[in-house]
Amino acid sequence: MGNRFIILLGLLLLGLAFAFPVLVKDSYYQHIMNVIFLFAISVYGFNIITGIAGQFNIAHAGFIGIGAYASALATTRLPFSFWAGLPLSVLATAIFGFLIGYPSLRLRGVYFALTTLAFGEILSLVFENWISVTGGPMGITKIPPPTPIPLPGGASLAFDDKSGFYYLCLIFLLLAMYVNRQLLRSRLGRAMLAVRENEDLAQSLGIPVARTKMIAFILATGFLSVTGSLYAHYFRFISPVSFSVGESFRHVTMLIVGGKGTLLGPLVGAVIFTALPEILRSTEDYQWIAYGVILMLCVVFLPKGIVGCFRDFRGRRAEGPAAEDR
Amino acid sequence: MFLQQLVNGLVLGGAYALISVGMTMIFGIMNISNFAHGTIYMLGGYCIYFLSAVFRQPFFLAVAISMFAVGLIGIAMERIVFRPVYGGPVLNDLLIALGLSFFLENGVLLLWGSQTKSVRTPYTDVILHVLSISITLQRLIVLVASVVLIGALYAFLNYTRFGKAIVASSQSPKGAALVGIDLDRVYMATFAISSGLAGAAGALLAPLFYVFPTMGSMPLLKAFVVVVLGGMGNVQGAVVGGFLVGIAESLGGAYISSDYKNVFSFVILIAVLLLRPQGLFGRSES
Repeated sequence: MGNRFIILLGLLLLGLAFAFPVLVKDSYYQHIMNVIFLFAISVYGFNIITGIAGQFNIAHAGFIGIGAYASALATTRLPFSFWAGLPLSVLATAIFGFLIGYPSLRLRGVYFALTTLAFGEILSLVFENWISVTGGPMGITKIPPPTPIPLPGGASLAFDDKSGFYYLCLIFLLLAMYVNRQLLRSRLGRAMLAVRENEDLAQSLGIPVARTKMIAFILATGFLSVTGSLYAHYFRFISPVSFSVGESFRHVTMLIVGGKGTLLGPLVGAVIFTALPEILRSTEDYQWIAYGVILMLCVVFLPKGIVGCFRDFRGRRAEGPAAEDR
Repeated sequence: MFLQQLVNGLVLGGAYALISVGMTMIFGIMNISNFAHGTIYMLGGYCIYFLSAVFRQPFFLAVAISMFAVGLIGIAMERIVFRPVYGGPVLNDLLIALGLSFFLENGVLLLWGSQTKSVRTPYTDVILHVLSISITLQRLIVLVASVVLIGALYAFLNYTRFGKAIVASSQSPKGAALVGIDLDRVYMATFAISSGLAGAAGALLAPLFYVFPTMGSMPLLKAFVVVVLGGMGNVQGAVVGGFLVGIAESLGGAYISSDYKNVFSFVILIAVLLLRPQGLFGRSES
């Protein structure tokens, strides 16, 4: 398979992605695509901090929650529209990301994971108990959909139906993929990879370890916040259950099975773990058990995930260093 | 009021210590942060539910059987699940333990449903009054049993040949292997002891709380706090840490806010990680 083939395939898939709501009118499938995209955006964020920079962030769902609550509050309690709420929530999440990341990123490996676990628990306790602001376990209802964007000539882009929202998610997904791709090829991203592989060595090469980790963390929280905000305005209802630490583990499974630190892994993981449970409706009860078994098997037999192993396979056949980058 | 809360804290602390010593042993010897430890505690709860509420066995016998049964499950887990990840990257053991806890928690959910089950013992209704303190006999049993079990572990680790071998392996696995200690057996025994104690904790606490599939998630987090506080891998540290966290929670819940009772221990965790990551009693790594 040559590079030209890959590019053609990519363009074809992109075209299909844009044409999807026109081709498939069934709103159930459009809904599933939207959910896949929402998961994928968040798993791409996760990939930046955990896959590329190698820091295991368990407060993942908590950050999605901050984004969701910030955006929901800005549009229900304050007179903002989604278009102001989204950047506001990104800002709020980034500030939290900085406050949490600054102390905890000094810690390594399992210690960082434990600190984020504690922060994640604190966040979900706050979502549940700060009733005057978050609505407690009842959550926030009647979150408005994004307001339509007027187009020249009297028409407008509406987002209150599934297909309109589809394009919104698709654009953010493409942005997330673009940022991941640039990271994997840039100096900054390579610095993150170096930090992941060996922190001491990275430091001795003159890489500012703390700053590199911090940039990765803030970038990641940005995408998590976008996910949260989109989630809130898509489902129009949020409650603490969606942002519990347990929910983080669903994203963990997606990333690990898809392939951490790869460009396509997060998307593959999001597709598999959103689409499969929908297709295998009858086995809903077994879903989480399956997650557990798949995660364990994957760690032992497929440590690089589906995309990582596929890449190794191609790399062995091509025997060229170029295959390593994709 | 203060004394009463202090006693409540001690009971809670004893349970935390019992859960945490096993976790810290696994970390100290195999360098694994066992995220499945909470589900092992949960299995202890289900064991006692079946033995005591369904098969009508006397409470203490049921606790003992639960402890051994969960210990055996621990051995199976070590053999099947954790063995492949020894010596791998840090993330792997974390992930595999996560996968295991998914599996166990949801397996139990599927088998026995999500509704809470309660375990009654003759001791839950007996209330003792000493000075201004009142305490149910069941709580006193939890405290005494925790102390006895931890004492037994301490004696085992310090005064028996195999116990000393375990301690030696945690200090230096290579050195231990060199002097002829069978590390395979040490790993197996560590998992058995660790799981057995967590199972005993689950069984002892079941009459105080309820038994349900996710009952282990809070104790798991508390155990992490305790383990970090005491210094990862430090058994004495975990015991002291367990009581400290139990008392802090009980007093904080009474005097500051009971809604945020659980937040206190996480604040302790974050503070310790930032100010003294080697724990209160740990040696500095450098």
